[in-house]
Amino acid sequence: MAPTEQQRKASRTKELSGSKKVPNARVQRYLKSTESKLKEDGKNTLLLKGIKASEAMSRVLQELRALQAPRVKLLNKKNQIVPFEDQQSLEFLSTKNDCALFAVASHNKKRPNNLVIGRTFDHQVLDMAELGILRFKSSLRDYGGQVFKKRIGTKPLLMFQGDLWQQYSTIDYPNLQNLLTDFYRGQVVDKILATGIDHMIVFTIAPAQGTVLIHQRTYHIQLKKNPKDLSSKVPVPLLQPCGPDFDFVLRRTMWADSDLAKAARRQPAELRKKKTEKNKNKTTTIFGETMGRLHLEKQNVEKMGGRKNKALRRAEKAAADQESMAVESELDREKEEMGREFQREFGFAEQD
Amino acid sequence: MVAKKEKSKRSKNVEEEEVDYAAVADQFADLSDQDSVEEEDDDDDDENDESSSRNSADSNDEIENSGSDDDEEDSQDHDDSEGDEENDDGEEDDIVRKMTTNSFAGTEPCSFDMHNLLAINSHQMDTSKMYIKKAGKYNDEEDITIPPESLDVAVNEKYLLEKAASGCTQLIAALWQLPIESSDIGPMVSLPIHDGSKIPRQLPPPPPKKETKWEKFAKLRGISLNKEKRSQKVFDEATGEWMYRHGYRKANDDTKEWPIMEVKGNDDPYADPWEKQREEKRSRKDKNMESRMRNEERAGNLVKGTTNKLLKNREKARMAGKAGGDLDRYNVPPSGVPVDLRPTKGSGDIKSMKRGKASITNALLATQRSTASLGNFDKMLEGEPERKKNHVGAKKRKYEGSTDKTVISTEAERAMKVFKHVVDGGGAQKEKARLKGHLAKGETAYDYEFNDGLGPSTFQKKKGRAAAGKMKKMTKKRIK
Repeated sequence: MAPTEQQRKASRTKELSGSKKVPNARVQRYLKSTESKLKEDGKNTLLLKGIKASEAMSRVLQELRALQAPRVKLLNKKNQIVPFEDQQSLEFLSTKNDCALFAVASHNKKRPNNLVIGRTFDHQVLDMAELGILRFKSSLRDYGGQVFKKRIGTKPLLMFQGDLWQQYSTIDYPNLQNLLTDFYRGQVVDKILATGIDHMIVFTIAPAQGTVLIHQRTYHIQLKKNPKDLSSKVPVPLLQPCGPDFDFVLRRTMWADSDLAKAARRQPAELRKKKTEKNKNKTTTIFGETMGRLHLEKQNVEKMGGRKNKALRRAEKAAADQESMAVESELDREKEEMGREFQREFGFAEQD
Repeated sequence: MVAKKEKSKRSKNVEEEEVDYAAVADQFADLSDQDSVEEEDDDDDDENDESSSRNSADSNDEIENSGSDDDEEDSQDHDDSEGDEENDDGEEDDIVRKMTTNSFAGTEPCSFDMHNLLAINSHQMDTSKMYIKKAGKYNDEEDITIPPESLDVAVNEKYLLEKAASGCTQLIAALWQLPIESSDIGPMVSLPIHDGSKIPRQLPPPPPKKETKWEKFAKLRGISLNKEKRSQKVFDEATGEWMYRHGYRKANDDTKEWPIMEVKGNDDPYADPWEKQREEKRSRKDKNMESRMRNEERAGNLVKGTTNKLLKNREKARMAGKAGGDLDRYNVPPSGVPVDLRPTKGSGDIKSMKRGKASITNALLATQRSTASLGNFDKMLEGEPERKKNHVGAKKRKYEGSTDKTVISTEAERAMKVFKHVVDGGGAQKEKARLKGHLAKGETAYDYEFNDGLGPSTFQKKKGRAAAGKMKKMTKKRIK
């Protein structure tokens, strides 16, 4: 029984104010697991019956329980819940049972063999889709004992076939694909045992008899060596239908508005995709110093202007003075010479 | 090796019997013959070869040459998308084929989301191949849980299986391309961390831990926090070992109550050190609790205002405790003074303990005359109402002297009456009690007068329907 936000706060108050009625360690561990986590595990599913549920629909729920065990809770009693009208009791039940996914099965004349699949975010209903089951072949009952069955808790391979899954003009099929993936994908893992894959669920969408039909087939997988390429390590699967098989038609949907949908998909900063750092010019010495290298183009040092200080200016001035002195002396000499020549020629000194 | 592992694992789950792979393959072989409505006979060989080789258990041993056959396949009767593709891209197709390690992958490449082990085949579904029109009711599947009564078409399971197989092969090939590390259980494939399908979370991410008031201040002023400076364990002199700095059985604990307490510095030597210590501890606990709660309130983990409420209540309780019985002195009316047990507007059924005016005045009257002189000579107090005819209804008891004649004659009788009352018990009173049933020892009607509710008024001579009486017509006269 996961606590609601109010209950959580009340119990925290009690804890802090020194109440001696703090629950035992096991209960505290469970309560901690119901709080929000940075990286989330798989979602639990809640299976319910609606106002009126036939035997066939009960079997459907049992089948779903077998598929999703052990992350699923099947409630036995009928509930006065109409998902598309009032979500309050659904939200309450999903909060208390700590299940983010739910499926409500009902059967009446107007909507026979009805299954409403949905998911919640932050204790509020996010998306819902109503599926009318036109054909159901149960793996527990209809397929017989000779067929292999999937093991409890294994992660399925999923496949969506058909171009209609990308269409969202009239009915939002990509959203439905997302919902079905969420419903069936099971536990979220980083690593998977390659040989532990034992079943595949295929969703095929095609237009037929005036509407669009969705076919769900489950196959048992056996990995075999590739007969055409015996050297490769990559196996080839042998598929055998093992059920459950559904043929359904989409009736009503209720999708979350874009704000809520965006908020629900927002991951914390730690888990978002990081741009890989390509620090090629950073090196760390053994002492722990990080050194960087700057790569520059060739610079024409001679043509560059530099900063002048007093000493340089003095030196420059001295050089300039020397030069001017040299030039002056040269000029004087020349003048002198010219004067002598003049005197030689004309007999008297040149006077200005 | 891969196959062997499978078999051992599988055999645990299959109910006792080992599955006959050949029989399974035969099942599908039969299906392929029956259900292929659309396919031409020419193409059956190639199609069946491929499917049977995929589905039979002998595929382990056989080395198929059908790879080359596929390339040569060039039938104009093929009206499916696969054939068209082959015709158009003859050479390219070759290359594509060689790249995918096996031709089981089919010609429709899928896109993948390996985080969720998801394959997406976005090619159009060929409805002509997928569905078979039912001729009348489809009798084969009447006994499944929900039979397809409202479906006009039957699904070609073999076609779906083929497509699924091609997708699955591609998916497994993609899975094997991911980094694999071998562990003691088997080969573990590392799946990509990021979700390609962007599946929403179930709860919003946990909010970052909010800073406490002190942490904020320290950050502002550049003061380093103690937890960064201090070690968790401290050397304890008394026991000579490293013990935790805080908490239960901490190191260097001065706050314990030792039998002999030192008088330090400025302390008053006559003050009770143990009381003082207890007071200090209490105040520290309170302060700590308060600051923790305020920090959590600020962070949003508690409902706003709980700290103040809690402190107020604590204060109230403490004051009440200190006052102790004094509270009753001010809140409860003293015994002897009549209390008007009348329900007030707000109390409802609970009778209020307020002093009623009527009974107070009566009580006052009674007290006023409860002296020997019936209150005639008593001093009047300030604000006391007038004593009007107080001696009405109050009789002065006559003095009975022991030497009085009348007294002597009647005294014995009176005394005997009282004595008899005590010994015999009751008289008229006892009779009443017996009738009421107070003195009953057993539980029979003979022990006391039992009122069973039957009497002359309740007696009915007629029973059943007749007891209701005749239905008499309601005429105007009768109504009046």
